[in-house]
Amino acid sequence: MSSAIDPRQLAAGAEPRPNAGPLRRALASPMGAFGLTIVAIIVILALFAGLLAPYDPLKIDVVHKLEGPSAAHWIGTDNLGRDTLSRIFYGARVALGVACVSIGLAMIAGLLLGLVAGYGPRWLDGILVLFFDSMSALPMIMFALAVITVLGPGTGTLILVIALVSIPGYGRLVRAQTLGLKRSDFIVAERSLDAGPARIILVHLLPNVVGPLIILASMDIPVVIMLEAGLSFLGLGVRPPTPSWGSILYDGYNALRSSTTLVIAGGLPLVLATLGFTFLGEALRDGLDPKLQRRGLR
Amino acid sequence: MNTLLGIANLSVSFPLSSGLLDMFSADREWHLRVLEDISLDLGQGETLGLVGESGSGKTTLARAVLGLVPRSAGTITFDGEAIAGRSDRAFRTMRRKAAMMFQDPVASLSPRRKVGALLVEPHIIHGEPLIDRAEAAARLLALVGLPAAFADRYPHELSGGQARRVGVARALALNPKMVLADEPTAGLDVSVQGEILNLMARLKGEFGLSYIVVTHNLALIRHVSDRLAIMYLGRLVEVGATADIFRMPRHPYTRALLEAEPIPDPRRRRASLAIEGEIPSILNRPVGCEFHTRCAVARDRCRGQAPEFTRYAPGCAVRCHYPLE
Repeated sequence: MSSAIDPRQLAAGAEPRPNAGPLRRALASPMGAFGLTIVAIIVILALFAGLLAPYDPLKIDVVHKLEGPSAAHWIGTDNLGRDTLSRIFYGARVALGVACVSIGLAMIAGLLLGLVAGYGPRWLDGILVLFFDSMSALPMIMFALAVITVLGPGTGTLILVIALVSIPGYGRLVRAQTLGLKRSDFIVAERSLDAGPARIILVHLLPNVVGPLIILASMDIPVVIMLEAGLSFLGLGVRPPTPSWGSILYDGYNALRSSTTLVIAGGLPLVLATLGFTFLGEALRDGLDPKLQRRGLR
Repeated sequence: MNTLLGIANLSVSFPLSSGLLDMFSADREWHLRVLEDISLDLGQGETLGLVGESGSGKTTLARAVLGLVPRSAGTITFDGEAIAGRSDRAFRTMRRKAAMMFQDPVASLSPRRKVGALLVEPHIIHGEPLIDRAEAAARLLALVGLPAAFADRYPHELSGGQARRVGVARALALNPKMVLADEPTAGLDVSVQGEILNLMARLKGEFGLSYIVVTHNLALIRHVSDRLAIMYLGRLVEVGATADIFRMPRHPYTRALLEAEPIPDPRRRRASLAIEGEIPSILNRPVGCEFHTRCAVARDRCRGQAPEFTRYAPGCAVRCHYPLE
């Protein structure tokens, strides 16, 4: 029986090594691999939209409006005869661009505010926590509508709104970690050398709190993509004629009686992007949490 | 002998809560009194052992000396200068001339920085000129017997003994006058303990250091310290020359502590004054002498009246109504 293969061994061999890097572990799960594939495709589309798109996404061709899929226009044209495929490619650029810039801003602001709240004087902590709590008490969409009403719709406003509503999440996460690290030996050791608060925060606390932020960001991206699409659908986000998945969806909604292609074409990328980023984020989170290693990744 | 560090009537207490109740309560009842009325001197070139059970306040005292824990009362004089106030600024000069070694050698090194960067950090913080960082780091590593290649390692890549050496090197970076060593041998195996102690002794000779060594390891302290300070529940109970205290402890607690040390001889009997139970909660200090709940020779007076810290010879004092003869 020595040649018999124990199926358990096979299964064990297929599992990633427990000490493999968190990234490798995350991507070894089917969910993580699927998420990464979709995210990679969207990123490539966004980066190389200019090369990959068969047409200018803004070129109006009224003669061929609302056409179904054809050899010339693979997934048809919209109500102004613009090539839907090209608009989806460029829409990826808008969706990712808005998400990355706004989340990047929120991360930086949340990082600094959270560090100051966690390490700084207590009264400042009180003020910042009050700010975080009040921000998250506001319904996101209502706050977005209010700011857009004041500042007027546009990509800049959109980014500002998303960054503002995302700050509390990052700020709280950083603050909680900072509070935990504040009394740790190495921070007290730095203080014993007379390191000032700026040095302690920037050199010693900051590198130790960014890790979880990245996971939070990867899980925030789908939310932001949906928010951007939702506001653009309502005409409050990216201004036409710039292509956004939300505005493609809106055009499709108006043309629903004559063609369903456009609605599907606008909706499918949204669904896929949301799923892809969510799966990737969850796989990353599970991979970075050593306690979940053994359990497998659902 | 010149006094390097003078601590007088030092107390540390923390508010128990910062809620509404505080406004209505008497001041001291809602404070956690961690250190009470500590007076202690450290001479130039002297090694002082700070001994006591877990929770007796040894580490807090060491930290309060450097202002890492704010003092609520008392004065600290270092190198002829009184520390005015509790701010970081007030302790700036002192933190340059006095360094601390922490109990957990690995955890006290910033995890995302390389050893080389950690070693030159004191220079950077205090604005000391530093021509060649790599060379300065290598010099400090050589001082504690580590190869220069360690500068490129991260703290988690060090063993306990290596991290301890890095801690020593870091403490010595700015040629301090005093080093506060918190359990310098904790977590090290015996051979490495010996190496670290020899290293500390050699550096003391080379740099004319004064040490405060915080420990509960009596065998260790007996060999390294000139004087001992015994702490119980945040108070000093006995201070004296190490040899005298080991020969004839005067406080029943000191005696019990010394007798609790294992004797490597199975035929010798365990002694009479062994204490039982746990150290009382600092939230609920016993009335009178704080040790009376566990003291083998406590009398009625001990339960009612707190003893004073009484000097009986220069540099020797005991807090007991009935010191042992």
